Amino acid sequence: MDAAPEIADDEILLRHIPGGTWWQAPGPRITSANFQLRPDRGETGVSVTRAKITGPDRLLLILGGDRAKGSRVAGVRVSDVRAMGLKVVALPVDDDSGHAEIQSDQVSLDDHACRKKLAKLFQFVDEPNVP
Amino acid sequence: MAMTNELWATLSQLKENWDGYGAAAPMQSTVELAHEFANLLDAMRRKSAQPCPLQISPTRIGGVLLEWEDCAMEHEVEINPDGSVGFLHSNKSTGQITTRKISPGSMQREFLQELQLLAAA
Repeated sequence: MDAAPEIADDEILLRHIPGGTWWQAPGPRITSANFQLRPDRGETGVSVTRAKITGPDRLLLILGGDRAKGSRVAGVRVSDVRAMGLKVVALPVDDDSGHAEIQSDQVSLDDHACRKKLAKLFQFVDEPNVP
Repeated sequence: MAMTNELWATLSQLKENWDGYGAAAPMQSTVELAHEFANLLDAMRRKSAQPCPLQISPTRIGGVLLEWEDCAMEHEVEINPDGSVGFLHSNKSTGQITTRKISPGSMQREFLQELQLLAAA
């Protein structure tokens, strides 16, 4: 099997941020609650998608996100994630060929401080839905 | 989100995969512990001149995250389903972050209720 292609440093990774202040704190900003992993499900990293393959609208469609209910999409540059000591791995899945994971490497996503720093790196890439 | 009974009820009713990424539903005992912790923080912060709202979020592993800030620091408390509690304090001007995790069983709901009474006194 071919190895997954390397993801370039200048690529942007996207993640769905569910609507409401549960996940989007006032500002709005993105909370660290979005980046905790479930070891009981064997999760190995934070699911993201590569913006050059899967755009924000397609991402929301795949995940059932609804802008009318406040869903938004946040993005982060790959080089910034790697600079934190995390790694980015391409993991295409059936319904999203751009799927990738941010995984622990020199630092661990189990670490609360790491998740806080990652949350601060992500920025919204779309405008909020104003009814 | 503001601290209302509706919020806590909604937290308790979240189902698996509420975030579209396979998040766990919060455990009732964890929500109850987080509720007591939030009440404690509210009582303590009420004495502050300009208390910022307490932000409450479910976490992906079935816990609850409490967040607030003051003029110098951002604070987070993770109430985890295994009973452990994680604290994070981030200095706004330097970016320095300190954390501490308290093991399961060393934090009791009744203990927090007692602390609330003391803080409100």
